[in-house]
This record gives sequence, C-alpha cells and structure tokens, in this order.
Amino acid sequence: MTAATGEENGILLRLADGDDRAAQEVINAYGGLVWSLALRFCRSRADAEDAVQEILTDVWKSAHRYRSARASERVFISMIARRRLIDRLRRDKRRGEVEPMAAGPSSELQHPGDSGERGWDAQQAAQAMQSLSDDQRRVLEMNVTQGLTQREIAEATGTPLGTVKTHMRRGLIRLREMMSDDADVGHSGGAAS
Amino acid sequence: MNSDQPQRERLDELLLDRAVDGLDPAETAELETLLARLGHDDHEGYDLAAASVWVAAGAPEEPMPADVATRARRTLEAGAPAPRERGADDVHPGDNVRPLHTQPRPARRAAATGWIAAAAALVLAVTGWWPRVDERGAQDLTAARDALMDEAPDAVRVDWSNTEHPRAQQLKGGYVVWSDERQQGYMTFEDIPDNDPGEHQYQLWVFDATRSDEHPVDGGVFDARRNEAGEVVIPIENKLPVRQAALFAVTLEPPGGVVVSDRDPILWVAEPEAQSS
Repeated sequence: MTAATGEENGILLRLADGDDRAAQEVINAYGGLVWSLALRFCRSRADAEDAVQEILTDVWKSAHRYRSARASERVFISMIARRRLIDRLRRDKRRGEVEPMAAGPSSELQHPGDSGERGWDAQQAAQAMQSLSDDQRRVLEMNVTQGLTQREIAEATGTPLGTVKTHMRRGLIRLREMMSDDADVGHSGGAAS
Repeated sequence: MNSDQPQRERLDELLLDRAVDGLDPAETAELETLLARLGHDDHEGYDLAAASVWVAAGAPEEPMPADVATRARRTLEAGAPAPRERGADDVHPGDNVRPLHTQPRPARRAAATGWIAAAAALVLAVTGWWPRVDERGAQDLTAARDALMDEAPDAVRVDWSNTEHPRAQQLKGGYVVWSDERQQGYMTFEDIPDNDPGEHQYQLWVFDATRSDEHPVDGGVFDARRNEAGEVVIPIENKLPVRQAALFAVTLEPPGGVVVSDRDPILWVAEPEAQSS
C-alpha cells in the first residue's frame, strides 16, 4: 500500500477515532517506513522491535493531533519516529552503550523524481532540498545522512556552532515554507498538503 | 525590541535543537515552559521539515516482519507497547493489552470500585494541613509546572493524601498539577522518602473517568531525588491519553515499574473531584 492510499483514507484520524481497522491499515501503509528507520538507528533487531513499539505508541497518542494541512501522514509519522529514535540514541549514549549515530536513512539524498512508490513526499522534499543554498543543504545532509549533531558538524567543518545553527535554521524554514506553499496550492495527498 | 524577544529567541533555539539533535529533560522542561508562556503557531515546523528531509533521504523500505507487525498491531490497538515474547493472538489476562473501544466506558464516578475504593479506604483525612512547598530548586521543572497551572485553562492542582503505610506517612506534602487538555502534568513532593532504585521505584497511575477503573494509565516510574529544598518535581509521563483524570495514585513497585500493579502498597493519592467539592 502506498502512502497516498493512506492519505486518501485518513488513517491517522480514524486511528484516533478508534476505528478497529485503522491499526492494521497503519501497519500496512507505514510499517515498512517505521521498521526501516528503526533498523538503521538501533543496535540490534531486538532494539529495533522495541523502538517500533515505542514509536507506534507515540503514533497512537499523537494521532489526534494530526492535521493534513500541516504535513502528510508519512512526514508526521517520520517526525514521531525521528524524535523517538533520537531520544533512544541520546539515552543510550548517556549509558555509554552506543557510538554516536552512525547513519541516517541512507547515505545520500534522493534525486528528484526517483522516489518511486513513496509518492509526493519524497519527491517534493528532494526537490525542495535542491532549492537550498549549498551551506544549508550541506548541514542538513550531514545531520540526516551522517547523524551528526550541530556541534559535531561545527567541529567537523571548522564552522562556528552559531553559523551551523543559522544554516540549519534557514534551511528548515525554507523547507517548511515550501511545504506550506504546497499546502496552499492544494496538492491532493502531497507533502504538507 | 519586544521585551519577549530574548525568550522568543531561546524558544526558537530549543525548537531547532529538538528537531535536529533532540533535547535533554531539562531542556524539554524549559521548552514546555516557554511554549506555555509565549505560545507558537507552528511549534512542530522544524520537526516536520527535518522529517521531510528524512523522507527525501529514505532508502528502499524493508517490509516489517510478520511477528513484528503482529506485535505492532497489538500496540496500536491497545495504545501501549505489546510484549515481545508472547504469541500473536495470545492475549493474557491482566497484560494491559486491550482493544481501544471494545470495553464499556463507565460514566464518571459511576462505580467507586477497585482501585479508587481501595485507595479511598486507606487515605487519611489530611487535606489542608500540609505546608506549602518551597518553590525554589528544580527550576526548570518548577517553572514548567507553574506555567502549566497559570496558562492551561483546565489545569487543576490537587493535594496528595497519604495512606496509612509507614512510608506514606513520611511525606510532608505535595500536589499534582494536571491538564487534560494539554495532556501534561507534574507531581510535587516535599520530603518524599528515599528509595533504592535497585530495590524498588515509585510509579504513578492515572485513573481516567472514561476508562475502566481496572486499567489505570501508567503515569511513569520515578525515584526520590530531592533538591536542596527537599522538593521533588516529577513530570507525568502518561503512556496513554488521559481524557478525564479522576484519580492519581502512587505505588511502590519493582525496579522499572510494572504493567499491571498489584496495588500494594498504595502510598499517596490525589483525587481532583474530591477536593473541588
């Protein structure tokens, strides 16, 4: 099932409303997304399984907050997954159990147009990334694909932390603006539509 | 420059850091305080934009294995993590895994049974004599708690009542601040007895008037780490949404807490309706 199918049916809103079928549909539509993200950010399959459960608990608790005008379901679920996985990494780092985040979802960003079945979200986000300045795109890619924190990016590039944060902030604001623009023109089932 | 500008800049920085690096508990509390105080039209904007980059960078997805999917479905149906070791449809009594809307929803205060009755029977009539908690220390959490009380229209403050358990009697005072609307709350304790985390921990349970009394919501496990003022402020971490908080109860549990408590001992309870009437 593609993300677009999930969008059209409003799975998250039905999950929040207690629709008995929604749980299975969430797994069908977004299980692969959540599982793949968990696998890449966890030390073991068992950890990934536990992370999936935590993410889906968060999804259940947050489903009522979902608004299709702000983001697609895929982006919303990715946001929840990202927070949970980052929290787990921070917790494990405090315990000295893991090295810093090794890798993000992939080693390089997609090129516009090759997003396959993931639909509007990936394609639009990839296109939006191309519109950023080189500095903005670089810090975002270092964070996303290499898992570096802002401080680590500053150290790796010899750039002041404040400058890294400025690039990061402007890049994310630009992406958010483009998401909002997409919402304004009303792409059906699109990112932030 | 607007007098709020430094705080708004700090709020923006925390929102950015949350989206990119994550926040520690103190930063989270600071963020909650600033959001409550200043508000924000799109406080998840950075998070959503960062998530969109993740989506853009998404590698080919691997299908979720059948056993993981089964457990995931149970998690979504129950609204709480399903245990890993059990079979797909092997739902055991008392494991806190249940369909969301298949159980009857008792009317508020319809039956003072189970937990609430047991707790009420143990509680001493102590409302009113506890001293006010010193508001110094644990500054971020304290500020977040106070901001919630000030800013959330539905926020309630409910004093703890203790049971006859010897440990419970040592508490000098405290209260719960909670908002159903914001799904947020804080517990405050004054001179809460120390616990050995390797032996046992405190655990909060929140009774939701829209759920069965038999299945209170896990409000989080915590330790008695007092600040210099002898005060402990603990954020409530409800694992499920609490639509209408009817009772807060603290138990003493094995390290890590439990999914279903045997309710022995119940130490402190706070009942909003009892104190508002």
